[in-house]
Amino acid sequence: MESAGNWCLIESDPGVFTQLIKTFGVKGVQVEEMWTIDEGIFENLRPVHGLIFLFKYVQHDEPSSPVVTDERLQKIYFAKQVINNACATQAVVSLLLNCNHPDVDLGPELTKLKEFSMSFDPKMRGLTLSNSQTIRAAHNSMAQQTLFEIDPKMASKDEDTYHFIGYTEIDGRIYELDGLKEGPIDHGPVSAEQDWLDVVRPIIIRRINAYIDGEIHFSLMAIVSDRKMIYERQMDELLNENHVLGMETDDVENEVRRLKLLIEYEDAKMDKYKQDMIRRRHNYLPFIITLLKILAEEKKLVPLYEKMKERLVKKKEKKLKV
Amino acid sequence: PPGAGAPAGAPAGAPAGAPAGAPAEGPGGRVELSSALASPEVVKTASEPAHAQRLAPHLPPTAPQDDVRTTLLSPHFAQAANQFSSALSTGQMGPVMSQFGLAAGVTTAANTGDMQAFFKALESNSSSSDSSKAQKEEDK
Repeated sequence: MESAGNWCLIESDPGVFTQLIKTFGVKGVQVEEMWTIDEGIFENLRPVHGLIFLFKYVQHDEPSSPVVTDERLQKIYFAKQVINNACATQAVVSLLLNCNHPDVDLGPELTKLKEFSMSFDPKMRGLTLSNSQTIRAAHNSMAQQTLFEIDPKMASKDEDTYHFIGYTEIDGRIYELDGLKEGPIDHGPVSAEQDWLDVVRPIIIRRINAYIDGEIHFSLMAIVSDRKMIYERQMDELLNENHVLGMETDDVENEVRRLKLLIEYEDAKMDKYKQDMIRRRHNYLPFIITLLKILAEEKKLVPLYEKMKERLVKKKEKKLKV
Repeated sequence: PPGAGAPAGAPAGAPAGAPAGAPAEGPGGRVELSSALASPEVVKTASEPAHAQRLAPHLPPTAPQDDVRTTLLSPHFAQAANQFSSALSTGQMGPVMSQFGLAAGVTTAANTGDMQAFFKALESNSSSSDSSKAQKEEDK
């Protein structure tokens, strides 16, 4: 377990993102982590409303597709990043505000934010976003409990910087939303017979390949419709269709059983997210102190330290050899 | 004399806002508590019924309740433990220690930012032998 970048690594958990979105008051969506970018990975997740790509930030940017500076900016929600730590939240909010799908209910807070800031330029939008009490409160409630007031600059000297960017389809074109750029990046059209996910896949693969060569850590997440909602809808449709079409009862029963399992799975997943949040927000200081006292009483503390030192020395030696 | 990990120039009893020096081992080479506390020896010791009972009130209030082992191996605990060790190594833990009713010698050791001295002080104070406590004070 490395301490570097822990803040952002924790934040890039699909459970954290899913709960973050719910805390904004948005309904009908959740976040899923993608473990590969193979063909067909989105099959069981459609509709996908946006993709979040997370990577360790490096100052080497290949010349990419053109940055949008024309009147499209009035329709695309793009905000410049003004606060570094808000990058994860900013990526999520940007994708949500560009989303126009019946499954997605932005809720009063984000709807207000969108109405308020759409007439602003990207920099002002970024400022509005980072000044939003609701968003800041939601964001901070997702962070790990801090044990005590310490000087964060001292504790996080060697932390890596992670950066989040969004990909989505807006009005038949694919855009990359990167708060560090001047505007949305236009990755070209999606034709009528194409699915945007098939068009965006090679774009992301190209990016991943560039990072694999440089041994850069990255991950990919998808903002999708609330899965339980989708399964319940399918269940309703199935039961209604059954009346009309007179489907085989065996087939219907099998399908009902399958959907029930999927719904149970989603319930279990949401419960795990909740439990993880309790763990994340817990103050472990009394636990640590009590544990150290126990180990001290057992005279196991100093030997433990010596082992830690030894391991560290070995690690350093290994590094020197390389 | 302080152990090998002691940073230079951190006076004992320095105020929390003004600790001196970089983390004991410098960037990338810091002694991390999380892996040490998740080691099989520690998990075994902490899980002994008498110890687990003392730790139980401090576990995160999940439902069902996590046990000591699950907690020690969780990424959330790991982050807290590492936060603890980096605060300790920058000498910021002293005032916190006194809040937990630990002996003055432990607080003093924590203020130096030297984890080894801190652990030693904890051990000698938990033996509740007054002579060794006094010896510890003299060493400082």
